[in-house]
Amino acid sequence: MGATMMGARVKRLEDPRLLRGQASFVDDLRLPGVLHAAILRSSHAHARIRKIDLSAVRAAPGVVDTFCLTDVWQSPPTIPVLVGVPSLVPCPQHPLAGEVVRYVGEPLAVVVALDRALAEDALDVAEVDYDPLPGLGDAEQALAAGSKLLHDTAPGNVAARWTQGFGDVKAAFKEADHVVHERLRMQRYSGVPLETRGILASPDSVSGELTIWASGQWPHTARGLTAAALGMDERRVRCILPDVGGGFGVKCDLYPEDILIPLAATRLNRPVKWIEDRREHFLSCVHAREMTFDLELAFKSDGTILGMRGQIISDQGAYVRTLGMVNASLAITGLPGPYNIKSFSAEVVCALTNKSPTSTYRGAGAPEGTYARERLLDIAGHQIGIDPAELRLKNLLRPEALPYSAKLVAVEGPINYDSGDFPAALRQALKKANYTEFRKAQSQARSEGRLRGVGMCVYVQQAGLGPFESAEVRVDEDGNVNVVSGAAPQGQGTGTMLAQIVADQLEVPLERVSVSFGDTARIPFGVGTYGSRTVVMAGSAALGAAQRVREKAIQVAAHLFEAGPGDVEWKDGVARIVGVPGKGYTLAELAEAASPGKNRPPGMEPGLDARYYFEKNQSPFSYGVHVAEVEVERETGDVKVRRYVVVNDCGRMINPMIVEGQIAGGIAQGAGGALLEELVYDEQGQLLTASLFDYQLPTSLDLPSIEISHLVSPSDLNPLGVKGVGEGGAIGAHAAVTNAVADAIAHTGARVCQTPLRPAVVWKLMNEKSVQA
Amino acid sequence: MRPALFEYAVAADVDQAIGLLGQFGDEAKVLAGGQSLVPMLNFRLVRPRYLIDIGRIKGLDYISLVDGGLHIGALTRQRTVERSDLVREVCPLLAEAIKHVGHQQTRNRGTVGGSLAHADPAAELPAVVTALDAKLRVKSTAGERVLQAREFFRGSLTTALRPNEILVAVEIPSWPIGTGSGFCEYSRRQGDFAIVGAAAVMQRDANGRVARVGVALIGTGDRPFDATPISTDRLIGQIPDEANCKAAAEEIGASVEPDSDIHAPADYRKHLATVLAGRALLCAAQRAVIAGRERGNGH
Amino acid sequence: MDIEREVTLTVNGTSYTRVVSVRKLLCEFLRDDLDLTGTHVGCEHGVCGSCTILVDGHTARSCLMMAVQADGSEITTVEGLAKDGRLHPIQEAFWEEHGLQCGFCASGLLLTVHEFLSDRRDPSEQSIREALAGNICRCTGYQNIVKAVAKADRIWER
Repeated sequence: MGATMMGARVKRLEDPRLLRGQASFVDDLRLPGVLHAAILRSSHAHARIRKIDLSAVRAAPGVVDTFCLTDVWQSPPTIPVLVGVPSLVPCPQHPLAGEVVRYVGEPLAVVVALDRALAEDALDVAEVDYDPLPGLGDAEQALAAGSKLLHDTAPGNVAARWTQGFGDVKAAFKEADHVVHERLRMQRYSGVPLETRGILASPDSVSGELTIWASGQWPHTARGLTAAALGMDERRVRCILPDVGGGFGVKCDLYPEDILIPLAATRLNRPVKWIEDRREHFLSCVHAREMTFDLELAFKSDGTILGMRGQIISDQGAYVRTLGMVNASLAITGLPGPYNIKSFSAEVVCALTNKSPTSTYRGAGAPEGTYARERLLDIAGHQIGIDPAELRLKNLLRPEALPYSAKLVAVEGPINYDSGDFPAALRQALKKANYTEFRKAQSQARSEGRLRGVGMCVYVQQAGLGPFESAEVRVDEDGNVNVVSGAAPQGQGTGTMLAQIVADQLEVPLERVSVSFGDTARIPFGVGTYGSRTVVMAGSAALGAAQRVREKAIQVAAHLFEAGPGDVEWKDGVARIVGVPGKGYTLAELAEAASPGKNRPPGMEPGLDARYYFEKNQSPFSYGVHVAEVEVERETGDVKVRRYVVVNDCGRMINPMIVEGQIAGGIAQGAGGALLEELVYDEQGQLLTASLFDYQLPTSLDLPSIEISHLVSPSDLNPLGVKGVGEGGAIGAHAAVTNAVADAIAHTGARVCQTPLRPAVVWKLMNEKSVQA
Repeated sequence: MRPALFEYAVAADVDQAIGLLGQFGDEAKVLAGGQSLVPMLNFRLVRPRYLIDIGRIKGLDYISLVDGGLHIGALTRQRTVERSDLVREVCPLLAEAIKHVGHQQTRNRGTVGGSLAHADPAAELPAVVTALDAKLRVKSTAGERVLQAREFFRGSLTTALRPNEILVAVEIPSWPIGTGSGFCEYSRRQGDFAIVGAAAVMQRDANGRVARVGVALIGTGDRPFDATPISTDRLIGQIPDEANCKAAAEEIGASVEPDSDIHAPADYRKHLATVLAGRALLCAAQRAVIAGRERGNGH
Repeated sequence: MDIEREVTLTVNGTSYTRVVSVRKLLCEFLRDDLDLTGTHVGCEHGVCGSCTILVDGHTARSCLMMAVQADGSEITTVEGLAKDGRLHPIQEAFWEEHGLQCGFCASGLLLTVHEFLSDRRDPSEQSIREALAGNICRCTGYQNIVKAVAKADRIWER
């Protein structure tokens, strides 16, 4: 094999057209006669809908159509749950609210007009008669006895509740020398991609097909779900992924609009476009992360962990849609992490509240569980009197223990750490971060009134979610290689990565390979891009397809040479007889020969192409160590992240530059969670953070340059030996930065148990208890 | 998010602008740089029936030295102030504060008058002109009025401007040789509105004693907090030092009555008021000495 | 009082005259009326910076301008950066340094960087980060953007 492209930091093939402004995000797509939709949304968090009067809307200038639930459906479809748990009760959402609305922003009606401004004018004259009901503003309130029920099917406002564990936790806590207990809270926040959601649906009167372009992450899945909801044959629906401006998991889920906009288009037999505005995005795009952990660790006197137990309360928002259960599952099964924990028991309670439904966002439960565990480890170190790094080194699984079954099964599969060296990664990170010297410098700085702190996080992440991914590799008669993948990227550089794999296999220059994605018409089965699955699943699929094309090419060449395939060697994109330099057949010639009616071996299917599905239900696990250094200003509570060190292990890397970009981007989001970002609701269930003024995203001044080094523990679970990495930065950073701030102000006796650590919060924590350490 | 319908007119000059306002003022909004107004239009937080664009008016874009002070036309872009040597020399407080107003992209379009007329309690320029004891000149078909800064800002997004008036200039009085200034703002991210900020100017006499002082705070209420009376009380005739600046700042902090919001609770704002007022006063005091020495003949 | 007006403006060197609704935003006008979809709209309230363009040589947020305000202006959008098909050195630098992932913020950033580098040489990392603070990127964590700006400074002859 050529192997010149694997591991190469090549420039991305995607970039020139993006840089020129020639991308096609969904709002850039132009169709003649397109109409524009706007959504009438509930202004109440919880109310009975007595009446929706759209008569003035219908009469408004430029309005072509408008409808509410009862205009369309006798028996409205529900948005199905794709990933369920046994205890889940039905609390589904309809595409439009019927008798009851349950969150501010819930869709009530659709307006279609000649342009968006006119559609919004029409929304202004809609009349809705609300009968307000008591709202449930937080999970504790929702779960309290006697609280108003959001769904008749969900007693106690519990959508799901279950326990997982292993070993004898009771005994562990009985024999413990130390028990460390804390209640930790992670706030509600979310991915907030720079491009909001958007859908363009267009019926084709010639073919009878409906084409849907959506800023999403899983066109094949969306196609099936949308078709089902509309009562259409799936084969008549085509979903195409345009360029997508960031997804981060929040553009999965089947949203009401995914059904409503195609419906609007079919009603009118006209193309209809809907672009979510930023305010709508905050109100109704999936929220995430909001969990409370009541967690305990049992220790021997030397710091060995004997057991862990606790309860998680997860705020699900008003409904559970396709992926709503994932966060809770990955949080509970992610609690033990890379540590040798001999007994474990935890319960998770998923509470329904009058807020936007929660679902997957980068890590999808792993950041939450990791934060709770890593925070508790630091608290424990403090209480017991063992350095937090030492405490971790003592308890991390040794490399000899891998492959290791964590004895837990998440919704996405069993937790099995396939390969890795957690202690080595931690040691390397601490060394890089000058940890020992830092402690001295910290002490010195404190005496000068400067509050420096260091925090660390060791995490594992699922990194190759199944069940399959698809790829087709086709060589045309010019020798160009076209790859079609079922992946559905939103900026991850997947095209370049797949091109590298295929170029390597076929030993052709990278520029000869083009990659396209996310189109249900180009490849019949696919899954999509989320959950750090792409390099493993889409990469292995592309590899398999390319390997088959290479084999086919050799067979065609052998036929042309009138030799056996074993006599033919493949080098630099040319087939030659072994040991005979000179005449060889290029890919172009072989593709020509393989075409129908030309000169291919008898019995061979025509075309120099292959389609391959990589099917695997066991996910590799990648891991990382993050060490963050912060400085807190005493008088303002301001936090600056001064230094950030990462040791990352995602097995073999196809393009380390892309890998590092993913890590850095994830860290920005995790640090944003630790310090800045929060979706805040008031007591009436109104979202107070519905603009970028109020929801604060990290800027270029909020982070230093990240220092990244790599360990490579290949995975046996796929032929490339790779593991995913996309979510890791977000998983590690929230915990590491939180721990660093806690460390910086530990001497004041501050109890750091919740995020975000905004300046006023940090200031209050420091001043609540000014106790000598 | 698109604006609600409105009708639009471009004023070619000030007379046309005030004429239109005289006619439509109650239902009109004035568009200058648009950096504050257009987001509100897009959110439909405001739905004026008429939009009067004054951005084409000539002759309101100037920075002039008048009797040792600065007169700045209302349509002067914030960017122009940022790059003005005259401002840097004559009014260093303004030169320092302007860098905190939004981002380069918004300063390129935003105007001095626009920011003042918008009167966001978390904005920098209202506090700066209050500290400087500036006057604001407004005009209508009935004539001109001149208002002191401290009477101009009436509440959150509310000024003394009548519906038929536009702001034409801000007139900063002379703060002569020996004046130092300090601008201290805390915001979580660069370019954000201030959580709290303090603007201070201080004139010291030949003996180094405080002869005149002006202080105003951002973000501690629905309008700039005029801390000049307290500072005057505490510091006039004194040699300013850490102790008395801190004492003045503590009284200022005790006097402000901010509300809590999602960005900061009230007690934190009060605390920041004390910290930042103290820093601004001390900075102004220290710079006043330097300026005096640089310009004086020996010493 | 009008609800529509004629505007004439130059965009990337070409003059256009159109009749527009007075409430049409400049970003909408560029994208919908002139088919220049390279300028992206991320928030419609002037915070994210994705819609940044050059107006009369200086950066501006095109979601904070009405199209009618641009009458008589000279505008440069991202589409105006490449000349004769060749990428501008700033674009080259972003490509080399992996300064973009999804590309949604890139157009606005490129023009911000253009303005920043136009009148200075050899900027420090801190000053680069300050100059970028008005443009949000959600994908990259900024560090490769900073590298791209430093590289652009070196390779752009100006």
